[in-house]
Amino acid sequence: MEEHVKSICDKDVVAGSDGPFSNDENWRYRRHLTLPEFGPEAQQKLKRGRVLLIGAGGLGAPVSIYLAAAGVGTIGLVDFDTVDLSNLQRQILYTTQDIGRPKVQAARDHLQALNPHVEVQVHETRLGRKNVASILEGYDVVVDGTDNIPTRYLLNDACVQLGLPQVHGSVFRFEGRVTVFGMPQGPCYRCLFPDPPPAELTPDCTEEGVLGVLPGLIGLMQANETIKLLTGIGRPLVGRLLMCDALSLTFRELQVARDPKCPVCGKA
Amino acid sequence: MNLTVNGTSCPCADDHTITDVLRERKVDTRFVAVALNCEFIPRGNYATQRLADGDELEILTPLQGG
Repeated sequence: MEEHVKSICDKDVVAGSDGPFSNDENWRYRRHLTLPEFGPEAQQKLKRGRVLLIGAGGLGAPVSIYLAAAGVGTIGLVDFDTVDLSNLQRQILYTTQDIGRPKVQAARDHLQALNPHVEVQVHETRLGRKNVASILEGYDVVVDGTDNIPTRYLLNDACVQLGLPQVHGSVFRFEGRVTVFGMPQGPCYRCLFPDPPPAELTPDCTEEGVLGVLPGLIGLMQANETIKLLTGIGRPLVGRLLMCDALSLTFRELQVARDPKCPVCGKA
Repeated sequence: MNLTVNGTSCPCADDHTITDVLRERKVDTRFVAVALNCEFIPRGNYATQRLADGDELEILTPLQGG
């Protein structure tokens, strides 16, 4: 498992090739730069990191805020939707003034206001079979914050094919899950759930609701895992599905092995 | 014997397998993942994996919300 911990961006890191951080960056990231086991090297890896967020909603909002604040150099956002009043109970990236605006545009404005050193790339589209490979190309890590099952499978299959890790988050009512799929020797989404279930087995949050802070809790854990993958620090949540019950505020960790017979990653 | 299934304690006949529990609960095995004592069990082992008193089962379907 030690191999997995190796930074995804190691390949790009050449000491000093980017020069030092600007004065603003040095002060902005001061708490990272002075953090033992983080420091300038990890901060540099964040700056070189390219992270794609699928969905700029309940999960994507908190993930994007913290990744931008942390100094991830390039953040891509994929979403086709506009901001709705009913989003604001949990999608804290947006304000009342954003209602009706395309989410990715409002998100870009807020994220760049938060940290002008971050490049925000917007993909105002629905992820589909035809565009998935071209959208994913060039990113180091994909964060799955979608709100529907078909896109989760589409994304998983494309990430496995392209060798991209996915930081998975999902929420429903008071329950949330987070894990990392698609790492070498780790499982993918289909190792856990090989086939998409019929719609009646997976009710969505539109009908059944979700506690507003829950995607915040799960999203921040996704941001945490993303930062660990980019910098190579810590032990990522590979082969471990973390489940959170917000009502009792209890966490359970379930071990997930890669399935050698997996229809997608078993052949990889 | 007793099992804990998705956090709730429930009685179970001795020598039951995961398949037996899923059948009793009318769960379609194709669309769930089952963890026994915090470890997911390969689908192919559901029919042979016997359960013991005090075992904890998690029967999960995908969550789609984001």
